[in-house]
Amino acid sequence: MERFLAKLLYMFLTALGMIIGGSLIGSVSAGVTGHGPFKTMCELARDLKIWAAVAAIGGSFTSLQTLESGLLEGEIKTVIKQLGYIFSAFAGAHIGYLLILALADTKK
Amino acid sequence: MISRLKFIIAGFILGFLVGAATLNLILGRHLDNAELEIKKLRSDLADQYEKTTLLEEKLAVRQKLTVDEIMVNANLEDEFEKLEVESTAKKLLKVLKGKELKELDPTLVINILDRRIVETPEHKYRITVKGTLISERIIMYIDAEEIKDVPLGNF
Repeated sequence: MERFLAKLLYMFLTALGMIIGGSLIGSVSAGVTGHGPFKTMCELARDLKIWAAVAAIGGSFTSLQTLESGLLEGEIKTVIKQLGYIFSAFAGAHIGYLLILALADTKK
Repeated sequence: MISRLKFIIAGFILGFLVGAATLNLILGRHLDNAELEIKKLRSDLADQYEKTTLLEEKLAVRQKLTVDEIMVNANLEDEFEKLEVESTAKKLLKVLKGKELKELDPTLVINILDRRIVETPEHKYRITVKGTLISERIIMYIDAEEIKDVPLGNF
């Protein structure tokens, strides 16, 4: 259980870090080239969201394979775990996106 | 030694990135507003340029000077004959109406009437142009000399 929770946190923070880091560092390029960094930051966060979640899970293919084998073999526990990982990764990515939006929303 | 160098370089790069990101965060709003302002100004500039071009075209059309009126003054004493000659001369010059002044050649304008023979119901006149003023109103002073020697039937 403890390992499961640790992995959940790991995926959550990985996705969160990918969004925040990707957006913050990526937007430096906008600042250098004379474009609006905040606007770029928001766009990057939005575009990276799905990729950050998928990358945090470790590739959608492996995760889906585990889900499939779990469902077919009746291992509900594995299925719930996988769904938990996916949810955690998406939550991390979304919270990262919301944080970036709160920081740099150009519509303010 | 090498690992220490790597550590320093990595630290420098990371520091650079963190610094750049922080600076970006601090100046981000200002840069965003500046970009927005630039876009607005560019749009305004394009609008103004379009407007200026349109106005320049309109002005160019308005500034074209064309011939609006033709006046002919003949030196005949008989008012009826004078009217006839002037009317015929005006008919000959009618082609000039609406022409742009800069396209008009004064010599050609004069040659339309100069040494031309004009007939009225009673007489025949040889016209000589004495003076010409070419502007939006063309004014011509002509000398009409009656031709008596050549009967009409001989032509």
